[in-house]
Amino acid sequence: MKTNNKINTKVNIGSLELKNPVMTASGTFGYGLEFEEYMDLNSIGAIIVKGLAIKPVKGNKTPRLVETTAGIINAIGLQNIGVDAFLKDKLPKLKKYKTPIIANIYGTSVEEYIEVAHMLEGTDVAAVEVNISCPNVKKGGLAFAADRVAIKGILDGVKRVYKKPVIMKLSPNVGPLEELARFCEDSGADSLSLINTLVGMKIDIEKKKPCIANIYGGLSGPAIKPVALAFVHKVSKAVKIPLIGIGGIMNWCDAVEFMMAGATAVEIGTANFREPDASEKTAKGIVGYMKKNNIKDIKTIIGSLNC
Amino acid sequence: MRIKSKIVSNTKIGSDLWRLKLDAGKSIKARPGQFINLLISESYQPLLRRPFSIYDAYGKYVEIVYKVIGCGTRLLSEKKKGDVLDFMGPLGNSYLDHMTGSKSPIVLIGGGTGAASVFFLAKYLKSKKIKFTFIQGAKCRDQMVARAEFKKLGCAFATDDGSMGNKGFASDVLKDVLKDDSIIFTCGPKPMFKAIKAVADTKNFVKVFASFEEYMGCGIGACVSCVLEIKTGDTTEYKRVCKDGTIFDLNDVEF
Repeated sequence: MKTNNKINTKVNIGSLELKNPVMTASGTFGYGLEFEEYMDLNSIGAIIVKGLAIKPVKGNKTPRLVETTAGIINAIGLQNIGVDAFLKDKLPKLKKYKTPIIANIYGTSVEEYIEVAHMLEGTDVAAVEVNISCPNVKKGGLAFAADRVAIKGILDGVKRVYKKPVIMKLSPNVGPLEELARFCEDSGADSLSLINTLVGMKIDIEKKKPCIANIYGGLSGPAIKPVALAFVHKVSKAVKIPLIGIGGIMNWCDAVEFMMAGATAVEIGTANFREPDASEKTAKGIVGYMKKNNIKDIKTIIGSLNC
Repeated sequence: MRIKSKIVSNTKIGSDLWRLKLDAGKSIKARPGQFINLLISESYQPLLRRPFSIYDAYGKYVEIVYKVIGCGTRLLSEKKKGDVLDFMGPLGNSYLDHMTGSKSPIVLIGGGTGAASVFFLAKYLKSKKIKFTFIQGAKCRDQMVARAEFKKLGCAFATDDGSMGNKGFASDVLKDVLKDDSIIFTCGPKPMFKAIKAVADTKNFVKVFASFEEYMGCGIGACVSCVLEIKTGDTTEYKRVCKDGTIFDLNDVEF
């Protein structure tokens, strides 16, 4: 997307400047390359790739995904190729794009999180998003979201070995989110992304069985948007660091809502499955909205809600 | 490719069975075994696209045969001539990727709506004057995919209730015709694959390549939802049905 001279769509996540506030949510956009054929990867603010661990992860048993009313429940179990394979096979192919690549990272111990961040230091990865909120893995994930000592340990360690911005991805599944957000800010996080999926389930009444093998999974999609929006609004009152809004954003209208609620940027997730160019369309739509409303600087939308 | 196609026809061809013909506006160059991922609803119900095996593709036209099962396929059956449908595809690998070029006898087996995918291969083989044996199984006559077209291609039929062809399963018909060194291409339900494998194991050097169906999120390999456990050396790994398949060597699949 050409940047219109008169319109500024740039936003900052810590020291990272994005040409526009639209990113792709980890786990819904593969390693980015899967979408080359369907959209212009240069048109968005950043690509956040599938969660990376030290070693390849096999993932959960199937079924891993089921559709619900205006949403989906997934329990993939963070299947990924591992940091080494990502750096060797995927990142070089993403180099031809000008869009920053953000790595979502996770581990099964504090040390593993730090090690993954360490492996990404000095690479072309522009920031890391730390997943302390996946509801679908036994080790790591949610267990960390509830453990303040672990969060402090992860943040201290990651910040020590990784010099670019560190985003903490938060879950509303454990405890009051404002408190957790404030704790992450005080512990040195550069930005927060929220919300990760909500724990949910679906039952096949003929088989008397849960529809996904993991029993519970993470609910995403339009169904969770109002919940996500309220969390972003509440957290924006509690912290000063930039927020990245996530949760059922399907188009530019949804994105503008999140920005008005206090998000500096947004991540498009489930929408990518339906419309592979949803993120590109969202970025373009925001510019259209700005033109129509004579908004020169996108930053003036952030937190502009009258209430 | 992502294409805004136009419905040429959407016709009921059996009990809950429908045949949909789309005009893609340009040649889509589909290969037997591939699928398209259709966006059915403008609203978020259903939210996800629905994958369908390609039944036939020629010039700018692509056809699928589908069974009305849930809200997505019901909505699809209500679509009319001229309606616009957004699809991604053709996606996935092809049976042709597993053709060895050897003189092995070829057997095609379709079960339920899985027969649609095998029909496309049968039509291709016929056009190349390659000989094959063709078997289709279904619950009953009324659920047999495109009976007339299959008959033209010399297909043998099996139904659970005996209302068409042999009474019993497609795998029962297979028992009588399977020769050593054959190569089988199949699409259908997993229990049928198991039955086919059991018959194949009674002969020597029979290869079976099956097109699998799993619940898909994206259809392009990004979400890693539709995986199958595939043997790799001493271990197994999850491979994506949409991108690494849908067609796998049945010997490699844990199911």
